[in-house]
Amino acid sequence: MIKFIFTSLTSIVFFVTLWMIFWWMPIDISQGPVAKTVFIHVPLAWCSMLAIIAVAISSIIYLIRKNLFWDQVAQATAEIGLIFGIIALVSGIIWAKPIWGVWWTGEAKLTTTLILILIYVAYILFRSLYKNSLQMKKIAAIIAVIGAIDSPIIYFAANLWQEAHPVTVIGPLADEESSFGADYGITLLISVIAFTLLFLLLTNIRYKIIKIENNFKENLT
Amino acid sequence: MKNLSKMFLIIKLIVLKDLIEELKSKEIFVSIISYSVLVLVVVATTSSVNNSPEFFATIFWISLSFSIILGINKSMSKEFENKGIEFLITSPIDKELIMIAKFISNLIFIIFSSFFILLFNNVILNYDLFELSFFLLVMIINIGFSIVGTITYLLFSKVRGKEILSPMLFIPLITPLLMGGSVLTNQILENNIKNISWFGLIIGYDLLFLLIGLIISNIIFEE
Repeated sequence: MIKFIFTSLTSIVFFVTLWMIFWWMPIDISQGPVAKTVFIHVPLAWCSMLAIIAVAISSIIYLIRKNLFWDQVAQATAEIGLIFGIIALVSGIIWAKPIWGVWWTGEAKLTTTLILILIYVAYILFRSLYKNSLQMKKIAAIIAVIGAIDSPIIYFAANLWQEAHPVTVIGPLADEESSFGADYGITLLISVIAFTLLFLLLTNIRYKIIKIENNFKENLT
Repeated sequence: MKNLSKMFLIIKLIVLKDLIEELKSKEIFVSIISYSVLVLVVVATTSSVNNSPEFFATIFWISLSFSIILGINKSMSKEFENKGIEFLITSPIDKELIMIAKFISNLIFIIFSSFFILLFNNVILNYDLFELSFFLLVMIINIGFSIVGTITYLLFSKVRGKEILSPMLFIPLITPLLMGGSVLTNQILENNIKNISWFGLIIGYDLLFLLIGLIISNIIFEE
């Protein structure tokens, strides 16, 4: 019952978000239709950051309590967080080219996101290549925690690096501010809520699949 | 005091074992140095070498970091050949001491190779960078490379495909060191060191990963 209500709520909020982004929100005068990418990019980035924190916390709890539930939650969250992170990065690149005139800059958030995606690819690859055992789960948890500890340091370092290497963006709208009105904030907020609910729903589904797979493998052996 | 001298003795013995083995075979030095030269050959043949500090800094740190991946993989895989690591793990030695000894062995290999890499970079890229501040910078960054490289190799040591996975985690984790190395190299070449905070970041990073390595050593070296 709860699952049905949650799924329905997520679907409704998501369709409302899509309506708001593509029909309700006017097209930005200076940035054009590509500006609407922001309403997808920002919530996806927010969810991928949420995923990193969730994976780290689940991994720490697993290392302390050795409860399989936390390991499975960490795995599910990492996989969905990785997908959200990749789409966030790609949507950011799509937005950046017409607006900034460059596909990529050395900006701290971009660098941090890319590096974190690589760390989580390593985490997921490791889990798939290593024999399913207690030690594998412990080492995977360590990788996740190292990734989470490293992320603020990478962000700080990238900020310092950018001070030494100021990036010149030469796009036609590089120096112009967006002309979105007050409805921008409302749409962004609804979008963040919608994508967060979607993230939680997908993570829950993935967790259940992982649990069924692990039970099946245990019964086989 | 007696325990401390015993710890130093154990670390010294493991490091000496690695050094003696390497002096006989020279595999690690040759791998690191020759791979770095290959990178320089590619750079020299595909781009017009210019005198900008950024060009030198970029190429130097690229050639060093990729050569180190190879060197550490070679060094650590030797330990796993013929199950040598299992003798170390099953012996009554603290796992933390094994970790520290491996850090130090890898660091010695990397530092020794770095001087040759710097020499080749100076020659092929037409530079004369032999300053004390630069040696110090290379030293403290190599400490970080050694620690992070050892940890990442050991995390993936029992996985097939560790040669791919280990660099996949190593490169992202060393990016703050590479950023600091590149910025400070530029500033040293321009004789204008502005961002002292980078030294603090690099040293802090090294200490953080040393601590992480010691904490996780028992899990990594589980029998």
